[in-house]
Amino acid sequence: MREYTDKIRQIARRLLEEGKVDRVIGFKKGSMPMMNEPCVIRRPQDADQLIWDGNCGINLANYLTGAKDKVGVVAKGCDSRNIVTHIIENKLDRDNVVVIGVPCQAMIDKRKIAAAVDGEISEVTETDDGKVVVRGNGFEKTFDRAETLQDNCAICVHRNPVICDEPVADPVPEQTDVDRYADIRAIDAMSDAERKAFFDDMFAECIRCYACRNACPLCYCPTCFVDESRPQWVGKGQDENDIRTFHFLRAYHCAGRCTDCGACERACPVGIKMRVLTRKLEKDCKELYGWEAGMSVDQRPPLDAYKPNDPDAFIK
Amino acid sequence: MEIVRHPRYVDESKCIACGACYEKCPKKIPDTYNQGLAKRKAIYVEYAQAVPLKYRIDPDTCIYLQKKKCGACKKLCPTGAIDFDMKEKIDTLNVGSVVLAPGFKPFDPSGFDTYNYANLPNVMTATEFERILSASGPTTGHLIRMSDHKEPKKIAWLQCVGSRDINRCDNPACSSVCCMYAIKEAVIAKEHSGDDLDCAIFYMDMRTMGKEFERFYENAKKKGVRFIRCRVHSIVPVGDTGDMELRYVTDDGQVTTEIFEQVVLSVGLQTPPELVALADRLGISLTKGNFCKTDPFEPVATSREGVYVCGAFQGPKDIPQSVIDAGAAASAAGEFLSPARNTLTRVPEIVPETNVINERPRVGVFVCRCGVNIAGVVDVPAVAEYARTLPYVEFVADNLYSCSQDTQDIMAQTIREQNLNRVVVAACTPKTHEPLFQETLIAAGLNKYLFEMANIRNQDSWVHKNNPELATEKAMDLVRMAVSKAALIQPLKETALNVNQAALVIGGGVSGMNAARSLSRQGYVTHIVEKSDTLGGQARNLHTLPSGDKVADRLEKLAAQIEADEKITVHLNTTLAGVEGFVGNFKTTLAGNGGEQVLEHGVAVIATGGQEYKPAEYRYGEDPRILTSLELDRKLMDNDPAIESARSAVFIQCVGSREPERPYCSRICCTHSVHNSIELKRANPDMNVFILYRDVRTYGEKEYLYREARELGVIFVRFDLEHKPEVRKDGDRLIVRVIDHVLGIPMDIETDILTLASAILPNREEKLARFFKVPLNEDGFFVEKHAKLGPSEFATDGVFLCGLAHYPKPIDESIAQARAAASRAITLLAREKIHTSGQVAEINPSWCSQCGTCVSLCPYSAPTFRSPEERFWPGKAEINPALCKGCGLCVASCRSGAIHLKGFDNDQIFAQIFSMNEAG
Amino acid sequence: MGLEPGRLHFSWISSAESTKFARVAQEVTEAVKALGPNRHFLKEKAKVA
Repeated sequence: MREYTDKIRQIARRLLEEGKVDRVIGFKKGSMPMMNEPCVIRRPQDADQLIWDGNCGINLANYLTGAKDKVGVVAKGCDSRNIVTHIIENKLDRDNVVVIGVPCQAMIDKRKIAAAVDGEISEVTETDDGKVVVRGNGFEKTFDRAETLQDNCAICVHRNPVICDEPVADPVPEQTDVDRYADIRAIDAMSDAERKAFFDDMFAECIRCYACRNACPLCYCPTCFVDESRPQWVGKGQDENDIRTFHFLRAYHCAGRCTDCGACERACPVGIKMRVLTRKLEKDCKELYGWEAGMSVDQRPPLDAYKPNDPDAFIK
Repeated sequence: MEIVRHPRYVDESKCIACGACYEKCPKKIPDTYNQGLAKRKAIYVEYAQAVPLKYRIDPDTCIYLQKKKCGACKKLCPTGAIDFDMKEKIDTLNVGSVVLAPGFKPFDPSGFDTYNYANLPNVMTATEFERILSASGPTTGHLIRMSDHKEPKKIAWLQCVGSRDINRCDNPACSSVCCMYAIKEAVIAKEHSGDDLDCAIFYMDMRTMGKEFERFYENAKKKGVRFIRCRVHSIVPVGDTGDMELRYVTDDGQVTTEIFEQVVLSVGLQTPPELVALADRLGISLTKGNFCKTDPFEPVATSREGVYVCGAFQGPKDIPQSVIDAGAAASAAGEFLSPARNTLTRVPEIVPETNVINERPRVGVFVCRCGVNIAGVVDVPAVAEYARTLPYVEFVADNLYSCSQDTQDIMAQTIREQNLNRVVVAACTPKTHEPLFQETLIAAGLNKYLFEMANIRNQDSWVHKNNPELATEKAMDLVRMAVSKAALIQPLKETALNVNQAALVIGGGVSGMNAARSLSRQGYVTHIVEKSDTLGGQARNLHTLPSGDKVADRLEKLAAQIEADEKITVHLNTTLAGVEGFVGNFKTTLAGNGGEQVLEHGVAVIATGGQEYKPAEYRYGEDPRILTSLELDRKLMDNDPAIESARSAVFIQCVGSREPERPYCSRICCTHSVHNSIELKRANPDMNVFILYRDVRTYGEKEYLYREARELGVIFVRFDLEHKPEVRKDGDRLIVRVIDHVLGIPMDIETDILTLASAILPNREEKLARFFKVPLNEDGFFVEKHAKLGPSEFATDGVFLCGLAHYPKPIDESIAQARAAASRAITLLAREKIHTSGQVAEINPSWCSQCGTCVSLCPYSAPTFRSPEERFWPGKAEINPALCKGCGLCVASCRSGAIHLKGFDNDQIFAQIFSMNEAG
Repeated sequence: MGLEPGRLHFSWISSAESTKFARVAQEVTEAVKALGPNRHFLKEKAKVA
């Protein structure tokens, strides 16, 4: 991880010195363990604030929406795919962005670690041999890094950036033997009643804070459908149907665009696992259209385009 | 000219197509439209989509007209439209030109006793089978056979019944369409009956030479349709099972028999005797196949000046080709009549429009009885009474017939007197009647969009005949919904756009020149842009046509006409550097001859042609004796001594066509090679000429050439894709090895000329496609608006298409399409102004997120991004109302909810839905 | 979402296919009737005390 950090600082400094970018968006150490913060570096001498470790899960593409200046951005595989989606959707000019590509070794889930220890955590370090050491007041606990990963990272198949101008390291091997949709298939197999109960349970805690929406780089409409009043597509209260409508409509708006970066789940204050919705649509897009989001700047998502050979087996 | 008008016995001006007569007519006779497979009455409408939708009495079967009894229809008709005294009338028309489009008659196979068509109910013609597959047909699309109404499990199609046959009938031509329709029927039959349905097509040559046809053929094979190359001699019944036995020879020469449960005869197209007589009366010449005789450079002109032809009377052809011909014939007639244009037009009176914005809605509701059509089921007075109670309704009336002229006048008067600003008509369908009522609104000074219809006939009284009370309730619901929407509708503006009266034709080949000439002859300034330094395109490489014409001579004449034409400007050595604008208002930057020039034009015709494939196979380029088809033409033109001295010549077909990487047929190569083989044989009858082919595709009357070539001794040897011929050199000898399909052994042919019938490639004009926002297909040809209905135009308005850029085709078809493209373009130019519809989509820029989904998705290229430099809403999407068709695709696709469809806005639709809910 | 799949149908019906339209409308109506009234995803009207 140290090499990544050094290389990121070096690239950022050089880009700023050479005037290739006006700013670099990356991560700096947060004030709490496992809580790295996004930061914007504008001067070469500030580049040493940048760091890299397993707590850089936030999707920085979210800070690129509508950027008009020259920006350098530190990007993992998923972030890079969102940058591609931004380019396709006119949110970003390819010429204005310098992608500092990080071959990702998966991010740590701070909630998993917090749940596995008792007491306040004061320090978390990652060792070179794949361990995570957690220290707190009067305790120290070591985990296998592989057990602490964010859910989305554990099943990620695109860890290396799709577009990259400044590689931070050689590509990491991609995971090939993961099953991305085991849970989705299980939900598909449920009876209607079971599925309803499943979602009842899943959304029970939702407080309609829209953190999932705000964290998502895909959600950039000037006025979100939940805020529209004429017509009011979805009620604004805590009615379970309104909550459900919000979640599934949000997921539909991400269909064919979501890169499963996990920003929504990471942002949710009550721990709703709403990625099952986006991944259901991801699975459909893959099976119906052979599509994975953000893999090429030349092709628009399948729901934006018509092809005569689009599958239509659902039409009777 | 004089035309005979046969009596309909129904007054068209009175008939409202209510169907009361049909219901009561006691006489049942075979339904001609359904090929006699179902019954209809003596009073009838031929089929549901007939225009005009007016009834007619068949005098041969009507009981009254035959025996002066019955007359039920006359007693019942609510408008008194029945007139048994109607007589044949002769109308004299003063016309400047005539277009013949009389069509064809399917071949009647009753005379072929070996096919037993007349005796076996399960032997059908393809036109009959077509009705069986149709959802509106006698079995509502359920695939059953006639003898026992069982679903057949095995169906055979026999091709070339009444085509390519001079033994059992006198139809030497190929009917062009039967291969494709047989495949289509087989695929649809499988769709209807499931994949286990066994479909076998018995054919001589599979002729799928149209655009996308070869792919369809290949897909049919993948779907399991069997293709058996054999002409079946006879159909033998198997006892009284209803099944039939076919005896045929397999590819490896084995005689075999197979039992089928249904046999379809793919009957050909022929000109019926009455048309031959008509041709004789009109004094126009026919071909030996009794099709109308035309010249390849004037493909729609008959032998008589001012008389034009299109469709299957010109030669057996499919719908796309017929529609192209139709456009060409319209253009030819238009060119001929150009001086008389607009001499018989009248200008309608314009009533000033009342401004209703900010007025409280004052809705007028007119409930129609439609005679007994609605009132017989729905309690119309009750519905009218109910309507009076609805919010904003100021006036209610019920009419006997809302669509009658006097009611229309009263409605207009009422709108004025009652000061109504919204109108709801509860009657029939807007599909047929909305324009009529909108005219009434306009006459009353109201914007025509302040109108809403409730369909209480087709969707209510007709379908709920047995539940009058519920039907009345439903009518009230429908009226309430319509009123709730009507209160929210706004007047919409139809923007008028001037159409720049100049045309741009891109490409100076035969197609481009013909399009330009047609445009100019109809009075429009036309620019031809040609990238090379001369006009003529690929045709310059052609020697002669099967008609015997020297292409060079005709081409020279054409080019001279173009150059002499004052309305046509030719820009040689020029290409397009950029295109701005849209239908009616294009600004194109031309680059060439050392500079750039901006041209303003209203329409564009893309005629960019194609090119010859330079083969990578068969040792092309290794020996001067190995030629492409065009190179052979060049040698023939130059009277190359190599031709005369040759003792042997070989043609290899499908070089680069119908291959996995280029899965289309180049359409012309079979005819081209067969024609050139005849030329060679004529030049030197002792020459041994071989054509190595996969299927000989001399469609239509080109079949005569195939026959002639065989008669002259040209030897045809078939090969298949897996066993292509091999070319080798043995010292100086050039040898072609091909596996003889009859003997199955390799055969070596030594040859002095080897002609490779190489594919026609598209020019893959990606830049042009981007400029005009028009699509290219997988192969690189441009994609027309609709394969059948819009073959010479693009979905994007104002851009037209012809020639090889569309698909490979011979000169006559290119010319027809060029003139069709011009004809379509002129429909725009002639209007001078185009009025956009008021019901178009509109983007609220403050909600637009610029994601580009609408821009990507719109089939008509209506949404675009504003320039980033624009002062207001830079970079946001906007919709050009001139291009928008109001389909609503963008509205549904917009995540930001920024797009609204005027006339179908969210609040209006929600108002309808929510007011429906009041029904409880 | 827990809505029964039988409540959503797609069909291509051309304007000439009146019989197909009637057939599909009947099939859909029967399918939905068989499912009974929808109990899921139904917003209760606000209960006013």
